[in-house]
Amino acid sequence: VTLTDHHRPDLDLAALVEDYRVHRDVYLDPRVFEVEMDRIFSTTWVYVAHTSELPQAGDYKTTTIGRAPVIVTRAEDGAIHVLYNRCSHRAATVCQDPCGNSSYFRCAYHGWTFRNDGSLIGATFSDGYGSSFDRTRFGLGVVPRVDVYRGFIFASMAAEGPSLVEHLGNAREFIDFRCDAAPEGELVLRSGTHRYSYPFNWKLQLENGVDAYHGNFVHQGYFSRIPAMSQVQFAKGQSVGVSVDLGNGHGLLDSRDDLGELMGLVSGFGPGADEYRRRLLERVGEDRFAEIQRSSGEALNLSVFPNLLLIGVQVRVVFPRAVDYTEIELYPTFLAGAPPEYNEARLRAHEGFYGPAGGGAPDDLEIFRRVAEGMKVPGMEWVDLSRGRFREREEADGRRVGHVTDEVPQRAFYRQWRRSMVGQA
Amino acid sequence: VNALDLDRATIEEFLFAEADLIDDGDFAAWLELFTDDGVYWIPAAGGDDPGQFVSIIFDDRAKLEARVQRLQSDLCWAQEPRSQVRHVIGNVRTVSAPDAGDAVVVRSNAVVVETRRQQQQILTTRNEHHLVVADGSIQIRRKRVDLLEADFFIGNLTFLI
Repeated sequence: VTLTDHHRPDLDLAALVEDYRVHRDVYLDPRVFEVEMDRIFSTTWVYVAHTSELPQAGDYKTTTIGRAPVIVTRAEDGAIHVLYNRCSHRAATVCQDPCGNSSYFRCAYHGWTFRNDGSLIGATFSDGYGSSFDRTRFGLGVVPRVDVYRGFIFASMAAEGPSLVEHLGNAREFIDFRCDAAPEGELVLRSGTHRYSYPFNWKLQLENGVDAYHGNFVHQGYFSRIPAMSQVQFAKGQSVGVSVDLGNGHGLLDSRDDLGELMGLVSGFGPGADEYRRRLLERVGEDRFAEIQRSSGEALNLSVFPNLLLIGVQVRVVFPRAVDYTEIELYPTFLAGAPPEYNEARLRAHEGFYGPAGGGAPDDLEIFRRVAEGMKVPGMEWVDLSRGRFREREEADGRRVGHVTDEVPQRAFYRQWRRSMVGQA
Repeated sequence: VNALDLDRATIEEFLFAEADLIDDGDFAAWLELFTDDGVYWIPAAGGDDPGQFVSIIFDDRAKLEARVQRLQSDLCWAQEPRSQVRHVIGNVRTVSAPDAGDAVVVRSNAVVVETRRQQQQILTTRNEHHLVVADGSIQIRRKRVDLLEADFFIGNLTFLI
């Protein structure tokens, strides 16, 4: 090991990510974080909310895209808008609550008032602005592109770029599985939120959310207490599942050949399950029903570049707050049209493993802390992501596929990261 | 003795003793304070109907036993190193609760300080205990802990509160 001076006058982004390893500056350098805010979060499609959170005209939710505070609104005509939460006058945020219902937003600083489509109703004491004041030029900033896929609302701060459907690409099929598990074909996100944070870089959570290798070790204690898990290959280090680079930075753990049967059993067990299955079968037919059942829960973990994860019954959103601080929200979903007791059982199952007091997630956070500490060692500059390199195969449609414990999804993430950051693959 | 006849001094002694079991790390003894149908509940922010809203913890007796087992195992990385916890309990009073059956319903506030890895976390709680008397001793049928910090982005709540 050569000890080198970590201070680098020049930031060479292209040199930070190679095909099978990542330089530690990717996680540590505040300048990299600044560029990420600029070139990833200010350009690509970012998930902001779910339509079920805004069922009525006037409903709104506040969140952030990168650093930018935004308000996601449903206007009187039912249209979804994503507005910058910044008064067009002197920059104060105009909306303070995490969610609510209002047809307008009034800035407390000087009283400017805006409709929930962003347009300015009026500047107070308007005689101070003269006759040339053009009210239409002083609406709230509008995030230029908003689109919805199966209830998932995404926004892009760039006026031009690939469509949402193009961006989601191969990930759509796996979002569909989650939604199609509902007898009415839609997820509902109105059952509260788990929140937690960790003192390190946001990308670690994206790597870990589609990492089946660590589960065998970090979550060994949890799995060892579930009798059914000892029956599946997954827990014996002999998984037959696959990990997939879906393109565009999206990654997948496909454990259906390990866990599909178990997931099918689990979905048919407990209060309301018979009625749930009857309703779903009626809507989708036998073939799709079987496919949905074996694709439920932890049989599929999906990461959507840059900061969305679908894991278990939850929608997980990763918020980069600083180069070394990350906040996370977990939204457990209900299945529209499922019996209430069936949806309640989803909550209880979710709480068992996830959230700040769950049996699994807090262990991940502790490991992140250990990574943060270890990464301070100077001279050991690279994080290795080469697992399964020799056995990765590329399919005709461009997907790269490896063993479920391989680092294929992590490589997928950094391929897109590099494309976004330096404009080359 | 009927739980509804317990005086406040006795109830306070019980709450202090319960907190001591957590603070001293005697989780097995703490678990034994719960009735077989006991519930340990920490609501998440947003709503307090556990059928409609996710909780931080909603443990029946079986889940609570699994939690305590996990905390005591050496494969629980979130508790390696372990949290140190101190409770300071106050504002103890009984409230009338027609739905609580033979249980006395006790409200209290607590400041719970947790230290781990050179960092201190302060939680501010409002507690509701449903206490019953069985076999001559006080037992917990329900312990609900509402965190003032429930909507915070807290990292690790794997210790008992």
